Amino acid sequence: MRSQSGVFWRTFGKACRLAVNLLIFAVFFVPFYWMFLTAVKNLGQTLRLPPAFWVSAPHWENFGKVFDAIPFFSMLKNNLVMTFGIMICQFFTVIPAAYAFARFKFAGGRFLFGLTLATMMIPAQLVFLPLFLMFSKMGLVNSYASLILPWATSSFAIFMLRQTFKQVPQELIEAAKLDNASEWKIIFKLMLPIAKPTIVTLGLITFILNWNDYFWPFVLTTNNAVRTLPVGITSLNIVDGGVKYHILMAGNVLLVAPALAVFLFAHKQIIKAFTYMGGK
Amino acid sequence: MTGIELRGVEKAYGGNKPVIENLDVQIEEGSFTILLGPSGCGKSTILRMIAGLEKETAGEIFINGIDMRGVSPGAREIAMVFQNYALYPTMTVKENIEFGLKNIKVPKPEREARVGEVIEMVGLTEYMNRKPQHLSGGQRQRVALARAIVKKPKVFLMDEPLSNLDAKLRAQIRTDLIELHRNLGATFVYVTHDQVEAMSMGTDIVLLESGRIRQQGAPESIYSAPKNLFSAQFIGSPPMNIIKAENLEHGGASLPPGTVSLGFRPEKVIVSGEGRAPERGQISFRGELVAREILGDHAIYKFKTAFGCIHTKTMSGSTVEYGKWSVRVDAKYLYYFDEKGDVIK
Ligand SMILES: Nc1ncnc2c1ncn2[C@@H]1O[C@H](COP(=O)(O)OP(=O)(O)OP(=O)(O)O)[C@@H](O)[C@H]1O
Ligand SMILES: [Mg+2]
Repeated sequence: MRSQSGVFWRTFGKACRLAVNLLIFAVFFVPFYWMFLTAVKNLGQTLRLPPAFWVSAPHWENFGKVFDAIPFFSMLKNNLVMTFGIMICQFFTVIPAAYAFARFKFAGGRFLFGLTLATMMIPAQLVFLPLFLMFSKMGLVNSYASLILPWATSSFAIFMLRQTFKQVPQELIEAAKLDNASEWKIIFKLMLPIAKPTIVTLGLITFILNWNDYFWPFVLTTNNAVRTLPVGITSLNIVDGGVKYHILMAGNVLLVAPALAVFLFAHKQIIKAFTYMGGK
Repeated sequence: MTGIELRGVEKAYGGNKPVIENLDVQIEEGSFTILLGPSGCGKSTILRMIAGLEKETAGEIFINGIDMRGVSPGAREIAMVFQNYALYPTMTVKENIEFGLKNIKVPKPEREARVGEVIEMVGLTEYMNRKPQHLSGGQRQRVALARAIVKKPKVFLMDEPLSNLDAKLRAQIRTDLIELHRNLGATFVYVTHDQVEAMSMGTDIVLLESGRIRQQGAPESIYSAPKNLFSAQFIGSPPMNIIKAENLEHGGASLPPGTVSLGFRPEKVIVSGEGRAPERGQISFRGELVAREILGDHAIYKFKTAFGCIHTKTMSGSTVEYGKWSVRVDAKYLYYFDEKGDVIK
């Protein structure tokens, strides 16, 4: 009796877990599938009701139409310059700031850190106008500088990295001091390797956030020479009248493909970032 | 010759009241000195000041006769073993050990030789390329030791390095440390709150209570000639039995003038049949055995008497049955303490 009900509950538990997993999978996967599916439909198929969940003859030419409609490669280049420009800038601003906040006591340190956190709470809609005016006064609108400089640092990343640095036991740093390590050695040989998973994760978040960013590049640029892919892709929406979802989605596939690839390569590191401290 | 000397050292954290005041300590060169005391008495603070990790607020510290003021921790020719090992998590065992040598630019051939020798000495050759998180507690402890040994320091500082290990491993590493100390001939300063560790390893014990030295000396002398109640009760397991003198005087015993309490070690107590009269020069208590621990080679008994609880410890022999007994102790094994808790000679 008992063992039978035991088997029942165990099977039931497994089934439940499977169902939940499938649900989670669906929530994440279906939008991607839908995007890809729409990208290879033709106009008629995108408008049909009820929608088809499979197309037997994919319209690959939709991707070609994207290249015809917008200067895809120059926009891709702009996207790359912006995203990597931001990542490089953040590397040089975030790490020293986080390290200083975590390890040094200096006058006004706590106040400055509070200020840094406070900037996370200001909505973008509040600052875009003054920011735009500031950039236009300096003649920086429509330049790479206008795409990169607003994001040259990140209070979120400073906060996260500071927490990571703070978690490093004081004993470790003292051991390094007794081992004759200079402050620079401690940073490069000890702290940064320990914080590597966090840094990689932050880099990835920065990449994805900025790669897909629409609002700021749209506000701060007015011509295609410096416009980025998300702005370009959105403009596909209105290519010679009428909403062309299939072309739009083809553009979106091209846009997210790099981000997806990066994520697939780095997901191990990300998981590590969130489990490192537990498994010391 | 003195290896380490503290003169009038004071330490206050932040604006707080000092945890250590006007402390003078002398640590013999080549000794295995134990800083022993209850939790919070300032042992770690003293060790960290010697290491230069904490700055003394007043006073001077000398290592091998050199004033350490302004000398950075790395330049003090010391090595430290931490309670939680403090191994660098992203480096392998070998990298952990050679990090200190790399930083002082020891040439590669010499470095390799020294690291190899030490790794072999602590028996970690096959774990050389592992990361610390893939080692057991005992192995991590040995990496920490190797990291200290490889620097060939004149002084080893250790802050409760065995407290994270199980009892068996602790006993084993204790003998390893004694051997190591004899082989290296360096000065060891070892912090612990465990009197067993102190007695078994130390050549010299500095017994501390709230930042002050209560007694310093060789383990045997602290054990056999405690200077005060604190020392008498901190050393020995179970600790010395202490009995209020006023109770005894009612019983007609004659004690040195000024005696407030007296004590005797559990090892010196003789247990005999109830009602047996004490012999000359003995005091005796009637009591009931309330608990006993049989530990193989020795046994510990707890008696309830009219004067309080008395612990006794007997080596081997027959087991004492529960019931009423008379416990006696020779007067020559008695210690008398005055109202300040100091021993009366
Ligand atoms: N960084 C610090 N800031 C403020 N007070 C401190 C600091 N470190 C230690 N103290 C205080 O100094 C006193 C001595 O501390 P210390 O760590 O030296 O004790 P300990 O003898 O090593 O104790 P334990 O056996 O528990 O390690 C304690 O009262 C402690 O609260
Ligand atoms: Mg301590």
